[in-house]
Amino acid sequence: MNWCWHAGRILLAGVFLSAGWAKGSEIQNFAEDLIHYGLFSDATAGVIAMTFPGIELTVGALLLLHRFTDAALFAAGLMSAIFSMVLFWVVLSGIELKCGCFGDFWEVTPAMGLIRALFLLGLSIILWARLKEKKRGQTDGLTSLVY
Amino acid sequence: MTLDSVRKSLQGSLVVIACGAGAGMAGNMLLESPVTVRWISPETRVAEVMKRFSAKGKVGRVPVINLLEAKESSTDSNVLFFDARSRLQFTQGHIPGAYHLSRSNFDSGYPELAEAIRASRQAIVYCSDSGCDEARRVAEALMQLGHENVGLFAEGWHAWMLGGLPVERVP
Repeated sequence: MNWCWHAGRILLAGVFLSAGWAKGSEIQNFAEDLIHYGLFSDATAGVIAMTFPGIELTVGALLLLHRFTDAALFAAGLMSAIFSMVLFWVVLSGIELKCGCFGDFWEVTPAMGLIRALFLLGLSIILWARLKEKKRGQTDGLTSLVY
Repeated sequence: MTLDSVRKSLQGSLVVIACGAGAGMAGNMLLESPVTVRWISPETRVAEVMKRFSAKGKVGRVPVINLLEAKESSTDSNVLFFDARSRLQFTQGHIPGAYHLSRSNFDSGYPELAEAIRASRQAIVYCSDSGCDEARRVAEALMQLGHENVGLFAEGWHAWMLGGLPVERVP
């Protein structure tokens, strides 16, 4: 893997770790932010608030440590896709609210949040695809040894 | 890139998400104020309290106002609030801008406030909750003294606190 791929991996790890930490340290505020989206009931917002910070921290940690990177990148892509869909709906609805994505320390409008989520989705897909290509290359190499 | 590699990554990512969700729930339990599956947002809490305390009517001759009306009136400078609880309770917390006017200080407190009550649009009296009688007595006393613009916030301080509304304290 070249340095560019590793830089992308560490960037993605940093983003997920900071997002998970920000949400987890102000979990009540995160749950309240979710309610303002108008998509979730109180109970659903509670469950999302309980679980999402942990998922983000786990994904971020795995990416940083370069362990189960394949699965972590795919999870990062899935989560970014979900964020993108929710923020796309918010932008379409014209609701003015706090994104809540990074607590209070990197707060942006829903439109900016959507751009950021799409960037993370793209980065996750590129990194995952490059990783798969590399793994396939390694397997092909082994296969050629057999023949 | 094959469909098989996508499937494997998806399976792996679901395991990661499940582990992360478990870790998140465990971490949440360690927090000072965790979120639970029965979490209620502040908006819902206020709405529920307001629904509960929205009864209208009269206590004796005094018109009763509900929490929603009290909340709206609290930002109106032409409406005066009177706390009929004890001085100590008033000191510990009261509706912002409220005056302390109870049975114990009525003789000394009323003359100072009479002109302000006359000039106000409404004078709202409250005590702890609907179980206390202090507010009704003060409100009826004000009406006997010729003030027609008196209202009784019957559910009082208890409902105000449950609604998570602003509180003012005497330093």
